[in-house]
Amino acid sequence: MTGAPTVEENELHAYADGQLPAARLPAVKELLAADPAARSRVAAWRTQNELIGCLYDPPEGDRWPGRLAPHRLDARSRRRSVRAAIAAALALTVGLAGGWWAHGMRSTTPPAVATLARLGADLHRTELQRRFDTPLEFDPRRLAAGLARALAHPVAIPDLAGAGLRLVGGRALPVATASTAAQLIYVDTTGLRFTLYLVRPENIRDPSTEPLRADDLAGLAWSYEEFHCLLIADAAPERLREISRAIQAQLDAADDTG
Amino acid sequence: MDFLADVESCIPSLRRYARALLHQAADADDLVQDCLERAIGRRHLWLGGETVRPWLFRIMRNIHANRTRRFHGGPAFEPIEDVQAEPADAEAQTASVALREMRNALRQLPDEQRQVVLLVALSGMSYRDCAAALDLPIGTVMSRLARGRERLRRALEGETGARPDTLLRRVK
Repeated sequence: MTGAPTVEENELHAYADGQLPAARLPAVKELLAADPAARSRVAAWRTQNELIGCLYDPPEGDRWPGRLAPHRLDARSRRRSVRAAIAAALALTVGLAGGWWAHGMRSTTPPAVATLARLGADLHRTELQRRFDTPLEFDPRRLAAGLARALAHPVAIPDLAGAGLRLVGGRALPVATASTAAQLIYVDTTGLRFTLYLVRPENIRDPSTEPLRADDLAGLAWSYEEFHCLLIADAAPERLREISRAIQAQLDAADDTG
Repeated sequence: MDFLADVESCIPSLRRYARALLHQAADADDLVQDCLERAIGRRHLWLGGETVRPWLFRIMRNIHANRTRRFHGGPAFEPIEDVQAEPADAEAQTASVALREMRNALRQLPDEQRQVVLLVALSGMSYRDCAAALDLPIGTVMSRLARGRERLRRALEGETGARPDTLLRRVK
């Protein structure tokens, strides 16, 4: 025997809680063998843990109710963020249409996704005939500068040439819900029009996508850290998806370099 | 393990800690659900460097602290009253007495000590993670743990005169 080893009180706690590094086990065990008072403290602490566990163990053990399932909560959170993106983008277009919709929007929960999608599609279809307060800006550099000013955030206008789209023009649109959004209009080689709305989110969301379809027009809404995005075009879902990927890649590239 | 699987593995201990913070089992699961929703909705705020567990406990503690501040003007602790139905046989009754004594002893602990003692016992976290979950230096966690446990020990052994091993045998 070389006498009791040097063991700190914290190490006794760690031993009682099963947190002691293996290298210290021999020293602690030696001390406990020699020191009945320390042994009794450790035993008391373990008993405390056991009793506390018994006090708060749910009667059903480790089975928990389905409403806590993380994948379910995750899916719900994504649906909600897509709804927020659509609501934000549509608040903008509807705000231009007269503001009646925006009024209802503030006071009630967002209507169903399908309703919003149909509304967005209608607006998109009739937009060409409308006379906007804000004219389209055609020069990409002035457009980017104007959008950055209006949104108080840099907007890198996606170059979608790789996906066969050409930028026609864009504008900053006043959003009825007290913010501003970028509207960017592209056409493909057949003259098909793609309208992209970028709305700065109040809350940052996870990237997620959800296709919408209303009559002959389709749209895709998704969100990421910088913007809620809504892409509307009379195109097949696969084509929309392909273009949304091109858009996101361009937006990400802009983030990385900026 | 991916993020959601990591979160899922924390649910049983989050539920226990929520039951210790609140006094109704149904409310406890609501608190857990709010905590999980917030964590999942803001997963981009989670810094990959730390494990998910202390981050989840910190979120839950913050939600609870904000609510109790709002409603009561201070953090509240109310142990579950209907922990167990009165057991029939004598052996089990002794166990239920031990649990009741523990509940009373916990109630008499200062908030800051009780918080640490409960977290260490229920969360399955290392001292370092407990410190992260409580936003405290690890030295503070250790000293509060030591003082809290010593107080509990005196309270329990003082009242029953029982040695810890016999106390535990009764519960099992």
